[in-house]
Amino acid sequence: MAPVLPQMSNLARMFQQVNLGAMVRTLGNIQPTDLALIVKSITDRARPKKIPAINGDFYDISDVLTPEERVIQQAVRSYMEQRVRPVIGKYWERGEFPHELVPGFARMIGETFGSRPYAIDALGPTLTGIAAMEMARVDASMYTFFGVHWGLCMGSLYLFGSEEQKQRWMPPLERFEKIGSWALTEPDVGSANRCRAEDHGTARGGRLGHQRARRSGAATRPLPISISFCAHVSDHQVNAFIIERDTPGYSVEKLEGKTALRAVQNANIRLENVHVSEANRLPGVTSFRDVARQLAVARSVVAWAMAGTAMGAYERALDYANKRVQFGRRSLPSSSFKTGWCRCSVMSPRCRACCCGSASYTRAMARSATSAPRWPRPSAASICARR
Amino acid sequence: MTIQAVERGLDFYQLDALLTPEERDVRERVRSFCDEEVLPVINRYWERAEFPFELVPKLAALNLTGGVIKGYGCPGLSAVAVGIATAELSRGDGSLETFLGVTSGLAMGSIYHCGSEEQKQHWLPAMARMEKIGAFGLTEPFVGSDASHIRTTATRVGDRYVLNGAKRWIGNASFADVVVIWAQDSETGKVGGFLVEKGTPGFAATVIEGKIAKRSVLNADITLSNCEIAEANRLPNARSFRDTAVVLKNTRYGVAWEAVGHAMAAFEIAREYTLKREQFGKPIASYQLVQQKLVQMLGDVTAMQFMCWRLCRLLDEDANQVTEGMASLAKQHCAARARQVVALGRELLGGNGILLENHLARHFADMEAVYTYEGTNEINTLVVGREITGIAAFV
Ligand SMILES: Cc1cc2nc3c(=O)[nH]c(=O)nc-3n(C[C@H](O)[C@H](O)[C@H](O)COP(=O)(O)OP(=O)(O)OC[C@H]3O[C@@H](n4cnc5c(N)ncnc54)[C@H](O)[C@@H]3O)c2cc1C
Repeated sequence: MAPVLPQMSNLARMFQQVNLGAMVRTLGNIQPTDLALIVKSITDRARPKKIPAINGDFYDISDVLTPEERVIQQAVRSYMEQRVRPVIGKYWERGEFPHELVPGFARMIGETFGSRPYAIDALGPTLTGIAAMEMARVDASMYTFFGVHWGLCMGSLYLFGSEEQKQRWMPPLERFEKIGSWALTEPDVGSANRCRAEDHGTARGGRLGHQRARRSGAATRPLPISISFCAHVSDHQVNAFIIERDTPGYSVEKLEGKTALRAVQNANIRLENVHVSEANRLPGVTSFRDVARQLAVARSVVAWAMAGTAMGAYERALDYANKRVQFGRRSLPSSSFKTGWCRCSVMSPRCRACCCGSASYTRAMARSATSAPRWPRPSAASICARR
Repeated sequence: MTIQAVERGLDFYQLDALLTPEERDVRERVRSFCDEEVLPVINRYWERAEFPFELVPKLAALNLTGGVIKGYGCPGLSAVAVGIATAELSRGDGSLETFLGVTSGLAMGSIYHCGSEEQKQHWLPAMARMEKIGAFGLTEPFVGSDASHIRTTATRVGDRYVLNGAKRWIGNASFADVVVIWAQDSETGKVGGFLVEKGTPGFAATVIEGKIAKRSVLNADITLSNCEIAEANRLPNARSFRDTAVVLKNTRYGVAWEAVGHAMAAFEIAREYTLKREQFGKPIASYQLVQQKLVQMLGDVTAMQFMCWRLCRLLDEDANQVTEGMASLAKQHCAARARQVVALGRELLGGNGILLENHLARHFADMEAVYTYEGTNEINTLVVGREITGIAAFV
């Protein structure tokens, strides 16, 4: 048998890195079983395995979509990857909103969501959820901006507005020429949704006083409008009003120093004797029950978004673990370390459960056409929020 | 100790009774420094990711720097006192604590454990007064957890050493007067320690931007290109990575206490908030689910305090009886528990929990760094695992 000749250059490199005396001593003491393991691990390394493609949708939930719907999903994904991912980190750190993105984002939404008769209704709940998932997969602030403007503000108009109100406000909102926000929470009223802002009915319309609410989008250019929910003084019913930013008595102050969703602009609002014409009251809202109905719809989309955030985190973590080498594990990704591997494998089924939960919820919603199903509605959102 | 501290849950089982007067004194000093000097200004620094240099003289005046080191102008505190001070400081602000931990524990600790008599005389007194600030450069861009295989090299040329390589994450490095650089000695292949002074040609540090934890401590990327230092700047008693590990073993308990401090702050803030905040017509503290969270937080805080106290007493009696595993267990366990405690606290504050002005958000974010540095959760787990099973499972 011909002698096996090691490559001299490799040997020379090895001698530079190794204390030869120590190595020979160690080799002298080595157990045969250990030697076999070492040889195996060296030969394993020499044959790098191909790293599988990263896919946060492991069970192919997108399969519920038709080919056309998949095109929509892809459009949202590539917009988020190409336009948002490269720039959003800086905005997040500075706590600023990426106004530069709005025109392109609006175009992307216009092209993917269509209009039938109002764009908000065009995709149906499942596809809207998947679009939200794709947005949050790259950036949750950008999703929140969209969710507040589209789902909450336009959603209120859609559910509770009169035909004239819809015709007046929906088109500029759909084109993002006006930006919407939605104000329910107050400084002293968060979880217990009972508004303190008062609406004194007068012949000319409403007069609102003393409300400071925390909501997103209020401090965002261009030309925001706001839908505010207020308690009616006489019988404590809840009403909703469309308020334009330049209305006298209405003032907005940005909330500083957030440590989450930093690119979203949340604000405190003060309402001091704000006069609103009756035409700006949403006729469909008479009690908190109506708000709850809207929240049920919105929460299902938030559940999708959380699935997206988890998916994004899983994909980034797996990608990093595949590339990062520690303890000399080169071709074997460091995700092969037991603990790292089990983190990744724990994350994957959770992403899965999130998508499934959200999917079945929104499908049930789609079936029942207009209203959310009766079964405990926060469940999809709470499954996803659990770590 | 005050009744107030018991009420606030900062000392639920009266750990106070187990402390010496000196240790109690240290705690009170640091606590009032944090309440009066740190809390009013720190959020602005944190948000802008700037280091509060204005606080350094006041921190120096607390006379903590140098910790357990005796002589050389250092306070010679007990490990318990250092631990308690660490917890109190991170209860105020984690970035400031990290700043102190790096210069006092890691940099001074390296010089103390591995330096020559002249090196100690030269550096330790000035560092104890914080006239000179130190940094500790072990981690590299490609070597984090696998710290014994660093790639930076030190090559001897006559009576000088030439350093080449890169370091990453090095706290204080952008302004430190002296950076302890750990590098592989080209001659022996062993890890050694080298003191690189501010302004040495070939040394460059750039601050890492965009952190979401410990934002007001400055961490830097370092490059060393033919950075020449005198032979006299080599730490003579750093002969292999084993010696580096001794320095780390002696700071690891500090990181465990740091986690305790973050958890204490979270509990204190959350308890106060839930008593004041009313929803559905009652303070939220009156709801069972809220009380359960508070109790879980308090249980963890109390257990961690005693775990860390015991570890430090063992160190004070005889440092040799404390194994690497014992040090790692406290770091691993406390960081993991405290990370949950701050998360529960953040949860209890609702939306206010993500606003800096309520302070909890900062502790919540900072705990992420504590969880990772000085050995990640996994690495410390494997250190303990190796000790209790005899089997090293790192690869
Ligand atoms: C704020 C901050 C300050 C710091 N200050 C300093 C400083 O002053 N000086 C200094 O020298 N360093 C400093 N560090 C660096 C710190 O010590 C490292 O971040 C830490 O050791 C982890 O290394 P890494 O970040 O390279 O992660 P990696 O080692 O790349 O680890 C990434 C992930 O892989 C896992 N992993 C790696 N190996 C294994 C294994 N065998 N089994 C299972 N899981 C594994 C880890 O647990 C982790 O989850 C600082 C870090 C931070 C965040």
